[in-house]
Amino acid sequence: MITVVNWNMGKRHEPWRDLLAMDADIALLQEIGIGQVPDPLPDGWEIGGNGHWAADLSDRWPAIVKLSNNVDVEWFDPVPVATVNREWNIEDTEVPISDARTIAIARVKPQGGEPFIAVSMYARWLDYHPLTHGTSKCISDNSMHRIISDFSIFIRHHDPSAHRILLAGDMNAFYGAIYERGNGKKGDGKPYRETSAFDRLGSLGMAFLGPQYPNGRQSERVDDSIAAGTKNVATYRTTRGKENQLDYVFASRGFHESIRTCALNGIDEWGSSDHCRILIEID
Amino acid sequence: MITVVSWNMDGGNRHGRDQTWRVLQETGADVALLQDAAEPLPGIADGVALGPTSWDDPVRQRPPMVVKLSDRVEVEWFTPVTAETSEIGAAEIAVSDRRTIAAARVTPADSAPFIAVSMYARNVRKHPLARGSISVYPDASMHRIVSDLSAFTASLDRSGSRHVGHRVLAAGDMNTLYGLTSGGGREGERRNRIIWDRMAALDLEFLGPQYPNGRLSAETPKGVSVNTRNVPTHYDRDGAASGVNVKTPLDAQRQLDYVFASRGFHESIRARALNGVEEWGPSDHCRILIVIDE
Repeated sequence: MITVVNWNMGKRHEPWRDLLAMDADIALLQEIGIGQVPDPLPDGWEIGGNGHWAADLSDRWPAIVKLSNNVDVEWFDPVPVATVNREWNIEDTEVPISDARTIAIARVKPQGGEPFIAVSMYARWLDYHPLTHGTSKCISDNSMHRIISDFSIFIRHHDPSAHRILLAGDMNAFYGAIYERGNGKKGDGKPYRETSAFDRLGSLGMAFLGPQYPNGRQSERVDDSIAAGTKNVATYRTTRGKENQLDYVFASRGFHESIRTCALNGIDEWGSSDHCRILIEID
Repeated sequence: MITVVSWNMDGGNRHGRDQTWRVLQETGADVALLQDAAEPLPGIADGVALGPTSWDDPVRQRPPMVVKLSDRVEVEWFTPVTAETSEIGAAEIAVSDRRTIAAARVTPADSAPFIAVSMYARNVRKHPLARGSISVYPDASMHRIVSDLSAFTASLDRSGSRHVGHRVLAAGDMNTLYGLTSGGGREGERRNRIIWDRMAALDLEFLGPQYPNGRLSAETPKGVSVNTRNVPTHYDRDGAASGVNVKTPLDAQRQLDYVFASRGFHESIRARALNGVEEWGPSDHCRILIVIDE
């Protein structure tokens, strides 16, 4: 069995200490703050891209970190999709991507096990165009769909069991959103925009692995934009204590049957970020 | 009233670039949304404003374009910048892949401006390490395009309480069939349908063209219902895609080119495929004529 931890670190340094105290093999991380990566890394740890990112592009980045010798990790180099030639010639070690600030991909080989593709995703909030009317910073679905387009290059078979892909991260979306169109609430009030990424992932044979209750604590106050009876668990909390689920896990159907997820969102176990950790066990 | 033509020019391969650009001008349209466009030979496109196109970029050969064809419209092009750009200027558009989308603000002489988007969903090939039978697929590219153009689809005012709508016209080669019913099983159908669902969620109405705004194919195309109203907009010159050696527009079966417009704005727009055999033109795609009458 190997253990994966997914975590939005909120650009903080303290989560790295929490990570060191865990007994995980792989970390799928989001919002790693520029300059916050320990230097040097603890013994046995390795990080994709060597932890060097373009500070002028973003102050926060996703990454995949090798935490133990129970796994071998081969990181894919992100290349801008716009630079891939018409013949689509890419190296085995490359992945064409839309926005390097949103995705990190690696091939993980557990000792004595089958390899799988691991994807750390971070659906950024993006502005509308300056010429359009609308609230600013209110769309994340366009970023999420770019992420899906990027990793779907590994989905080459109609039978999902032919793939072994693990996808986790911060989607900045509510699973089960029920806003009515144009109701003047959050963003444009379009439930399908909120939920379309979940729908598309399903069509690509990616099984939704929550985590959902009872694999985590539910918020005492459910956001009124989410259907009653939701099993969403709190994975993000604001400074005012409002909690929602923004972090999710998916795996190729078939592969998903060997995977369990749990939100480490108890009050005492939350950790030092505004997002809690998601524990993913692959047996 | 203004007229827009959407056309995948196939790089002017068959009849040469000069004839393709001449046919475009003879369409009599005010604006062209082009895909797979080749650089016009000197003197051929006089009087045509091409926008910010770089023909000497080897990766970006045959780009999508928004082209100004008449003085009945003003066109302000958006310069494509990478999707990784944090602060977008008013004259820029953040794009995932500049080979798939071009956008401009078009202002007709007698009506309100709108955003015109030319779409070209490129087929994406598999990763070398991926196993499986699917070699190419267009939906990844199409979803990137939808993500790019969604920046123009804010429909509330800045207070977030008043619906003001948007005015977007998007047209082009989506490289997929509307109403796909086979080829990939239920998940393939769902994967195809989500593209249209996502456009609808952005309040972009599907404007076809669908029959009778174009000729139906003689035979029901593979992969769609017998009741389809799809009008063929593409024929496969070498039979590579269909397995049938199709050589003329008469045998065209597949609709790959489509039009969408913002809800409300769409009520003043009619789209028609110029897919009659005599009117088809020199490309393997026919032209789509879009009339905006406000």
